[in-house]
Amino acid sequence: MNTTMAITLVGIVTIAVVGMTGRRPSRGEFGEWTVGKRKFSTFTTWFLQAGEAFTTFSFLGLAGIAFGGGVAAAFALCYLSINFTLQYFTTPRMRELGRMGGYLTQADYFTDRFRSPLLGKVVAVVGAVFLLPYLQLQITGLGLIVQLATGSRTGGNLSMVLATVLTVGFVLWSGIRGIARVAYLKDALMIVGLVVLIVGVALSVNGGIGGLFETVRDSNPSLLTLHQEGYDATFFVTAVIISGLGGGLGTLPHLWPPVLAAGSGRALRKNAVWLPLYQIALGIPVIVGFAGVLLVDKGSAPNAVALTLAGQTLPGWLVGVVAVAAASAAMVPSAAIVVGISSLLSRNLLSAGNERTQLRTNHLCVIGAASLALVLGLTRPGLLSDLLLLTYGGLTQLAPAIVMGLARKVRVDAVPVLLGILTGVGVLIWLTFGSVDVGTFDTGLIALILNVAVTAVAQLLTRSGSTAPVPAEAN
Amino acid sequence: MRSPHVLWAVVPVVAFLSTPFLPFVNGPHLWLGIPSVLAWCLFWTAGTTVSLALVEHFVHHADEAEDGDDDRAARDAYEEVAA
Repeated sequence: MNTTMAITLVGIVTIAVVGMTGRRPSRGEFGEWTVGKRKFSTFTTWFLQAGEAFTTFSFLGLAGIAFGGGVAAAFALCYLSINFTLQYFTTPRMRELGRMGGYLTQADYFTDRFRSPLLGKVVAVVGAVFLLPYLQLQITGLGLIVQLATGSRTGGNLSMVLATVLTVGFVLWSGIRGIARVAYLKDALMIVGLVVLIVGVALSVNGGIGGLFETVRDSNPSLLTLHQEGYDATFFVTAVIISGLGGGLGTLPHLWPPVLAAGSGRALRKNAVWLPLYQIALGIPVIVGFAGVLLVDKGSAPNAVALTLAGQTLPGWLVGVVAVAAASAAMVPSAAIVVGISSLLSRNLLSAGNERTQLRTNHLCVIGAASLALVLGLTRPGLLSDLLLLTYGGLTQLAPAIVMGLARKVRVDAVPVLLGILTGVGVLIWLTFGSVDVGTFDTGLIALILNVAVTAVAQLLTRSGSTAPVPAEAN
Repeated sequence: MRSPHVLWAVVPVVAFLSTPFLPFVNGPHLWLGIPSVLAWCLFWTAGTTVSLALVEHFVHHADEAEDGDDDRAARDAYEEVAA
């Protein structure tokens, strides 16, 4: 075992141990495990929310997009900022409704606001199905990180198993408080890892960062513009809109517990104000991706660029530090996603009895979801990749209903909402797998437009066909 | 939250979405040594914080009284324990 591998394994174990320390004595209630006592401070909520914005995508994916598509990678900065702008206005209201209605999951919101347990169950299924490939992505991303850092495929697989088992362990033991505790460590590690990477790159490129971009401008100027094949203005605008709406309007189920756990609406607003500044750190992987254009073989896998570059420019022990940082960027979102999936299944789909029974069922769901994602990651890593294409676009189909549910009086019925969601998801599947050529236009956005249209028409038909008053709950 | 100051939040969103359509941004230019598109997006990322800080400063939020109650309750509980 080399130094890099040893540091990586010790780092993964340390992350889990820190997660274990987050546990508070409790009476074994599901609510405490999922959202604490809904009294989380601005500080804790900050790290929970930031922890879910920085994922393996930040480390591997962004550098990969910059490697292949240059400045198109900056779309992440745009959509994340739009996420926080929308969250500034929406999350305090979600928290307020959650406190009054006792929500623990996103599907609780649908059940309550539209007075429809069926809609809650459908939303729970949609959420769990689309989150599973996202969980697998984090686990396989962690394996890739360790494999690239250590050069050992066996080491990568071993790390996937170790990290998954440990993540399940601290999630079951400590719940959301464990995730919060690890999120502090993760963000510190991320900053250190990114700074180490950028310093390594700056010292390796002739002329530093400035010299890097002058060379790219002279040798490959199209990488500095949004006039590239596959990365044009249409891609940029539609991808920013769909991703901005998706994250900003609470369509990802695993983003709900931090919002519901917040101690006040003001804490959520404060975080939304300051979290965009934090995203400036994402400029580093973009710069690293550009450095890859000069320093890494053209045929390299885009996702491998950041850590290949780390291996080329840093000593072994520092590569280990970067690998631990990247591993933490997989473990924290994995923990949050597994909580998202398990709570949807145990509370909304299986609806198991009282809170204690729900907690026991939930723990089985945690183990089941994590095991399934791990086994598929190890044996059939490509199996869910098609489904992953639908994760963001598919979950964004929940956005119109979430917005309508935030109003004081909900003026839309459950059936039109259900029809809209099913239409959006169906159109998305058809566009994605039916070989329909829509150019670089985001398919999720096309599906969303049809979703809204179907919801509106169905609501008009429902109203005209019924004289009964529309369910309207003033909260 | 119906104050016109809410419009401050729209400014960065418009700036982001207009990125590909501004020739002085979307071209092979370097600003301060980095690509102009990246510099523009980084600038408006910081600008998002400024715009939301302006909204927070100027707009009254309906839940502030309730938050204040929460804070007071937490403070009372703390003082009770401290005593």
